[in-house]
Amino acid sequence: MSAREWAIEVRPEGLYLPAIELFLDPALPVARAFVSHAHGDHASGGAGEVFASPETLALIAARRGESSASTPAPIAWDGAVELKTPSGATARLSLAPAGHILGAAQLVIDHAGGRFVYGGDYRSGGDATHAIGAPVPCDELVLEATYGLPIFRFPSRDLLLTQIVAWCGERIDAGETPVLLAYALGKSQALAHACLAAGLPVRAHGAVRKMCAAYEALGVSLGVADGTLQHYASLDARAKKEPGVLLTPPWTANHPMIRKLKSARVALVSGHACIDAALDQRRADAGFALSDHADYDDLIATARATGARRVYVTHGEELGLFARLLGAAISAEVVPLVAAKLVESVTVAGEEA
Amino acid sequence: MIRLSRALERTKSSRGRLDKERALADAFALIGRDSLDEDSAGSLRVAVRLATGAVTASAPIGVGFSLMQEVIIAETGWDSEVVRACSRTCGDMAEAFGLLMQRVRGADRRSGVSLSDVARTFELLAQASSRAHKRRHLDELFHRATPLEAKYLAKVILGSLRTGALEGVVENAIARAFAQPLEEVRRAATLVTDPGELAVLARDGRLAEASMSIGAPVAFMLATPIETVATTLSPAQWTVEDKYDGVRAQLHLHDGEAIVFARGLERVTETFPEVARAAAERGRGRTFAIDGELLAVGEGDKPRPFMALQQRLGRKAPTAATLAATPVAFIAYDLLAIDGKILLEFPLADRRALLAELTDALDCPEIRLSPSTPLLDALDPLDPLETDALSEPTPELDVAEVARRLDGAFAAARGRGHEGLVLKRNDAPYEAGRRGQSWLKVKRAFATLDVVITAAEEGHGRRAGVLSDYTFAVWRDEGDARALVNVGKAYSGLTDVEIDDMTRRLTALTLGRYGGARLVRPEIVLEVAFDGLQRSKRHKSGFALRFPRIVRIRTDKTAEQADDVATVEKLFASQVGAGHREEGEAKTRGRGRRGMTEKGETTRQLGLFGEEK
Ligand SMILES: [Zn+2]
Ligand SMILES: [Zn+2]
Repeated sequence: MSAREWAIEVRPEGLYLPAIELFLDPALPVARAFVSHAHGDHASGGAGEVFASPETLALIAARRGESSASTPAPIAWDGAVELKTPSGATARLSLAPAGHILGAAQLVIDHAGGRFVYGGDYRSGGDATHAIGAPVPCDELVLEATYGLPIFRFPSRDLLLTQIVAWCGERIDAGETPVLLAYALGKSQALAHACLAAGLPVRAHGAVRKMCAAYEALGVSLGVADGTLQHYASLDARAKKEPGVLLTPPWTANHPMIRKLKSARVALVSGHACIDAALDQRRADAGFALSDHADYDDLIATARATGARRVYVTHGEELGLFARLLGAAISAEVVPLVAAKLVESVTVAGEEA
Repeated sequence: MIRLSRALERTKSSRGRLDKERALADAFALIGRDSLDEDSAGSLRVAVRLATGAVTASAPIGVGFSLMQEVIIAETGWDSEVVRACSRTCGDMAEAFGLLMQRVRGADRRSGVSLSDVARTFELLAQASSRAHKRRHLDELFHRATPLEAKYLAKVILGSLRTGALEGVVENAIARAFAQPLEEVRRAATLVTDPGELAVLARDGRLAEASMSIGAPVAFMLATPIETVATTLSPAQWTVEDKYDGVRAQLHLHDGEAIVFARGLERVTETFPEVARAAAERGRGRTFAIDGELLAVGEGDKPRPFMALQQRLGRKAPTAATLAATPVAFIAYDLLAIDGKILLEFPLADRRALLAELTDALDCPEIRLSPSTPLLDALDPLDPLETDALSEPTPELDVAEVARRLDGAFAAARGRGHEGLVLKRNDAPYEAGRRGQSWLKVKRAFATLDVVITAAEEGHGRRAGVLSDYTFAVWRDEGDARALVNVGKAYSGLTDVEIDDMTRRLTALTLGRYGGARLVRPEIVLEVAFDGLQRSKRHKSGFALRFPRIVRIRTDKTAEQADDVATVEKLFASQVGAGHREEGEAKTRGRGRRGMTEKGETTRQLGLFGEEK
């Protein structure tokens, strides 16, 4: 098998492996895709055939309802799938945990020329709600660099969860309502788990509660079935005033529901919370840089630990810069994967930007 | 400095204004009460000044972004591309500095810098003439600073600290820290414009001693903007003046020395030598403090647009050629003190009478009295300057009638080349630092245009992470087809909720990204208001809007229904006719947003004296 056959292409639909005719987390509908995890920006395209972890398929179904026209093709954590390449050789597809959220997987492709790993959204380490992400030794790696700048350096997850729980406790003791702004899938479940474990009452926005229920169906108990985790909107006015943590997605930050809540003290829980402007934008009183993505040091350490001789980097506002920094830090060829189609259309239309 | 930095860090969230005040008050109280510290008054003075974002009491220190970037590179070891990318992401170079410094080995264990160190360094920076000297002082300071101190020191130096800019927070904190009545602190604040001095007076219970002194600037009294008269006002109590298109300034003469203070109360005497010289020579033996406006004047003493004055701003010691090409006059409209007597409590009518006497005595073209007219006369449909007749006193005109007649007076002011009108109450004292109901400015938008958004960018600071800056276009006929050509860019005017919504819509319409900008499918129509038009090569339409602001999102219009270049041409022609613009292209100085020739940037530019470009 030639190295050329294992090239990775950037197509309008998303990243593409021509050797096995497989798209990786495509944004548009395609014939065959691997979906690394259930976040909307990765599982948006839909496909004729969808390779993914069983948990990811379950979470996608919970997000969208069962109406999807895709044919799920689960890959068990200890299993594998074999695909033929045009030259008749075989490529073996298996999964490794990517940290990030429940079900998030790295795709490990073993072929005659070596091992190719697509990391998806990745973070080293785990927590009570999902498996531990760890580097997979490989020859070629696709690494997601959302936080590929040295200003992003997150404290340990345990420390952050402890701080968040303590902050919520203090707010409740002061007669205030701690509001945690966190992504509805993944982050919210980690927070719900930590707060419930500390005995704090938790109320959730509908989207958060729905995803908590989906986690619970997959064996991560989050108090949905036993009613410990309450649906905020269903509470009557008096119950809403009872002490408790409110878990809600960041986009609700400027929503009247929260702005009207006099006693609210808002904390943004996101890797971006280490930036003041992000807190200002959400008018947050506090920020906790708890992220489901790797920070800068984790990215460098991960790329190094895989021993990959070529690293493709994706995502991130400053991708070219990160590629240069990573290339200088490890002994590998680093290739930024910029969405080619977009650049083209900009040069055509860009009269004066 | 570490106590102050921690307090500032605690004040950064925008909710809970009270928490903000408490954090600052605690820090001020601690710093000011430390009797062990030999110079606790000195430290308090510095702390309060820094909290308001002031660098030194007097001179600017002349440290800009490029020098600061060099310091960050040296201190953190990251290269310029990294520093720039991090600054972009934070929306603030100072914050990027703090975050990058957290990675510097041992930086978080440093003992930090003292407030007196900071004050001394800033003085040295102000005196240092060469870039190399400044660089050395900065390196010495930041090499000892903790990451948090670095962040806030850099914010002060770069002018991005906004805690203090929040109206009243620092005054409230001072009152709280030293248990003084807020009213007294506020009164004193208008007279003692150095907040550090104010804090020391509060600490020592000497607020009552605060008074204006000639030679030290007083906070400007401000006018409340109104589109038109909304409440009944009795015309007999008001006078009308033209609203000038210049730079607000105070002219003091004290001990034979004339000083010009600009809007931010910084000294700009050397920028306007002809005004200072005239005051010193013609006013020999007297003392005074006049409030007014610096204005470029052209042939026949006609006022010239702000764009002309731009040639004079930010330049120390202008050459004879510059002075001759762009002569400037100080238009006097209020008198704050004369011959040792403070007039702030006097009614406007009395201050004006004394001012008229003074300008008569000075009798020079560089310092002129701003004409003012009783509102009753101005409401007369005839041009008040054209008639000697005194109108019948009209006791109470109803709101609609006043508004209607004010339209005429407004148009007349525009016709004289001014921005609009200011209404002033005859019996009002000079309310230093206040934007009250005694001065009202009628300053209407020049016109509005319906434009299409073609590109969007993330904002800065609070607006980082959302698409809040929009480039917009109008149609131009190109043979058989029509094309959209850009005409401007607007930064504000929408609420946070609207911006969130626009961010979602624009993200969906994104065609591609180019640097920080997103090109979007032209679908969203905005109505933008603006104060004027100028010819510009910056935009493809050949025009740029002055002070564009978004009035509303025209959900009722499609892109095809937006305005075209022909409409813009017509507006421009009518504006040149009225003398608000000069034909020919505006010269833009500098680059990027800081170099924009918008009036709103004036303070900034004046504050950047001596900065490397
Ligand atoms: Zn994700
Ligand atoms: Zn993602």
